[in-house]
Amino acid sequence: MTRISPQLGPMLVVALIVLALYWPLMYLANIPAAQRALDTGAALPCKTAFECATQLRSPVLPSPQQLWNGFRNLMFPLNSPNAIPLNAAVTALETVVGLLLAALVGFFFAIGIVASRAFERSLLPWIVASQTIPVIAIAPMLVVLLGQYGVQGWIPKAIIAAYIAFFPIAIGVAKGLKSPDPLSLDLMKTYNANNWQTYLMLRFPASIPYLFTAFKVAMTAALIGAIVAEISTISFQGIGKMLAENSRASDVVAMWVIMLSSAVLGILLVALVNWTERLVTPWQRAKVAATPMPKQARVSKQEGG
Amino acid sequence: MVVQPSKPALSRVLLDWMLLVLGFGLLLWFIAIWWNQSEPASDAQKLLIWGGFLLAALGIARVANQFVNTTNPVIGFTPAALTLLVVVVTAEALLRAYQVPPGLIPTPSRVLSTFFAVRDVLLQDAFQTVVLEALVGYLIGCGLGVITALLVSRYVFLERGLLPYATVFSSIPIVALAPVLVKMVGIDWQSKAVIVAITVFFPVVVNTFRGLTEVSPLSLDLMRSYAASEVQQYRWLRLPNALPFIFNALKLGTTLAMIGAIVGEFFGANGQGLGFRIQIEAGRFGFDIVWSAIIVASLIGIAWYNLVAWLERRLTGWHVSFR
Amino acid sequence: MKKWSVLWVLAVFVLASLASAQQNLIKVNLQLKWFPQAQFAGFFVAKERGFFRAQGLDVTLLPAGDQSPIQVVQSGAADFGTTWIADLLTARERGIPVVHLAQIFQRSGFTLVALKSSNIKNLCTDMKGKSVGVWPSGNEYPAVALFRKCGLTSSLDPRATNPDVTAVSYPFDPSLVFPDKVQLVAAMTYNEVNQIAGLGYDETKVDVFKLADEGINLLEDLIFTTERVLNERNFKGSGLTGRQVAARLIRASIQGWNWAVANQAETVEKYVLPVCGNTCKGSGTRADAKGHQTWQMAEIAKLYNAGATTKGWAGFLVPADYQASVRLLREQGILTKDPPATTVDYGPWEAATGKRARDWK
Repeated sequence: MTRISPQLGPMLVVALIVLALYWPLMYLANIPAAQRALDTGAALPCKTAFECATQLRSPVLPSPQQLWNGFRNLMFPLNSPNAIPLNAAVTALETVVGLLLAALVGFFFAIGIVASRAFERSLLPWIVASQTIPVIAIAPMLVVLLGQYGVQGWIPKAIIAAYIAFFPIAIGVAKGLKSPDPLSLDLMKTYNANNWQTYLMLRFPASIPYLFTAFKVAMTAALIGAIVAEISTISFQGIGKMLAENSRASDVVAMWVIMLSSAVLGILLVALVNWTERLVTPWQRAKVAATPMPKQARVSKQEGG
Repeated sequence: MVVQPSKPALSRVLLDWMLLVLGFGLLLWFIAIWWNQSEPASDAQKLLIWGGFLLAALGIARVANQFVNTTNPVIGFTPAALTLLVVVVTAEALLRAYQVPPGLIPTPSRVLSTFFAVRDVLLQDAFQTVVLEALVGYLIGCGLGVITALLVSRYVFLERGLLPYATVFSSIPIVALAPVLVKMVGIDWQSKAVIVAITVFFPVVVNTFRGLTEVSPLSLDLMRSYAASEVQQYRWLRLPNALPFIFNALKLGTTLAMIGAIVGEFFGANGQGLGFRIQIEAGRFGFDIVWSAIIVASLIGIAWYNLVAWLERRLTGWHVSFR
Repeated sequence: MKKWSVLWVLAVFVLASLASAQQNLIKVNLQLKWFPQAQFAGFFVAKERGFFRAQGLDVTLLPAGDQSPIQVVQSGAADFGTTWIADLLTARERGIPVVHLAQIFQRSGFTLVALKSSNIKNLCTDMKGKSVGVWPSGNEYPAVALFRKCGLTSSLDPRATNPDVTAVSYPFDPSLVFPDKVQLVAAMTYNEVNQIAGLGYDETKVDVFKLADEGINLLEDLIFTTERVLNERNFKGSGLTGRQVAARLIRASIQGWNWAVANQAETVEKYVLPVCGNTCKGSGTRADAKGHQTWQMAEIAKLYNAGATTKGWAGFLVPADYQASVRLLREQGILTKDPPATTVDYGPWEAATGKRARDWK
């Protein structure tokens, strides 16, 4: 697939338009703030509001130069406890462990839902309800509680990440387990396969594509969970801790840099799922490539979050 | 009782219910005798509580089978209601048995009485958080999302230039935007509405677009052969086809909206809101009020979700998934 | 030849320092109430000048953001912490077994700041219908006590549906709310007062109401721990009891504080500025970190060098001050009953200083 994607051109054009619009927007947003700062006599290395718009300490929109400087300050040294790489790695670890934990719990619930109507009737409403509870509210309690039993540091954050990530996995896998058509299920019966065999040979393989679709949604959810947990609980490392800290210190440029970095982190983590999917299920790719896409029914290749 | 395909023997049904009642009885009995105690219970009593919980849980697991095939939603909810009840009663008993301080975890009874005492203020908070912040943001975000999707599906250039970004952006942790936006827009409700709008926007765009474009080529050809205009195509084919997809995004958006609004309040609030209340009270160990606020938030979240689901059934009742 | 001897000396030195590091220093985590700044100067000095090490302690100073120091200590992530007395007493009433060990600041530095042009002359009579900016996480109690004392309800009170005062929570940056959103804003004498001045509202343009002058003298930075740590028989396998470790921590901390207050310029230059990040900066015209911290150090010294400290009883919680704080919180309904006697433990402080609490006059 060395052919240049037809999307590349338009994507670049859109990116250029956005970039070109950024400068006027930035001046528009910052000049009033700069004027105010000049009026109050703040110590700024500039004379006019126009000049100051790119040098404000807390700009409404940071100038590209400020962003670049902030980026350089926050990226290096790579292993500094106050730099993004180390903190991003901690958050990524929490997210991935949370996702794996969520997969475990999600699988358990999915099997319960598919195997037993009684289970579904008694628990499914609360599984759904659990998602309406703002995780940020229970996070502090959970962390203090787990701390009583010596569970500290990044593990509570992974658990909180798992709490919001297990739901899409449970629902997705349940769908996948139910997906084999009745014909195949009947066939298994005629072969005298017992329940376990049906699961092992038919239902589990059928649920794998669903699993990965769910993983993509769940990965973003887990990342949000990890960041929220870091913001709202005891944390000394992580993207969320950096956000909270710089919000307290009112360092707007740093907040922007961290925001952009966390976006990149989210994109990378979802890409990780995509990559794993291709590694684990090479036949899926073959199938997609073999199916010609009808021109009218354009299918976006990714499942939306 | 209820309609059952194969009626189990009456004696077994009775036995199941007996298990349930016995388990609940044990738990309630303990709570009653420990109501005014301030010492931790003995190991035997703690064991008794766990026993009561297991009995009740086993009872529910067996009783639930009797409700499997009912179509009445209220009766069908019975097992779920019993599950909640057993969890709440067990929590009450355990917290009393271990004498867990209320500054760590409050007992459910304490939460309920606090909830009753502070309900007026919580309702005001809920108005600020849900109506002003979450709902306004949700409507704006969803509205813009659908419009964007319509444009993107109509113009190939936009599809190629914008859609990849939308897909990528929906994997961004939106919470990271919250501090920046609060700083930018201010601490009033508008900043949270903006956070919510951005949060729900991307899933709506991606899902709506899929719905608008994943139409069967056959139907489209048919429309064309009738010389249907572009507008007619959208009105009669693409939009109806997209509705189930849109509603999926709308349902997902309800939870995202609540989380977005509450997280936003953590970075500054004007003296009201569920997030403000939770933050203030968690800082002063008022976890009974925190839990009350959680109850309010979840009840509203569930109601909102169900409202959207109800709308979905009304508007897309013709769709396969409901037939 | 000379080169070799230098190397030998170096090698011996390295080995010796390694050996001393191995010398079973006890690892202790101390949770500060906020990000590193001159407010905690004494602890930085105690750490960097080796006062903690001389006591056999390897102390890690943890910064705090939103989290309540009490939650961190209760969860075990820190062994000791610093916080304010209202926070400590309410946590105790909610069943969290925290214990007061030593009182660092002898006077309250909590103020409310208003623009002169807003015509607020008397807090109690002019506050009704106004908005007040406060910090969350247990830092709002002094303001709450003031509201209650004036007979006003506030939006911080979960039982007031139509509050007289709207309390706006803001994340520690006055420019976010003042003076556009709130008429009054909480400010510490040693930090936000200077930040507000830096934003263009200096002493000539604002009134600074010290809460201590309004009869709300709730004591601030103190060292606390939990009963669990205190009653530890063998603290982290060190062979020392929790009380002994507490006494050593207090001794080194007081030593650090005395040094910091006596050598303010050096403290700021050598021990505060190197550990502080963004949070050390002031605002606007007073954004320079060194200037802001120098000013903060001077203000902090005033809070430290007061009351018991001036009589050579640094770290001592004066019983009368404690009772006044309790009485105030009870009168305002923030506490419903007297805290148990075990809430304050003079034992470690007595062991650290060799004084006896009952000798206080």
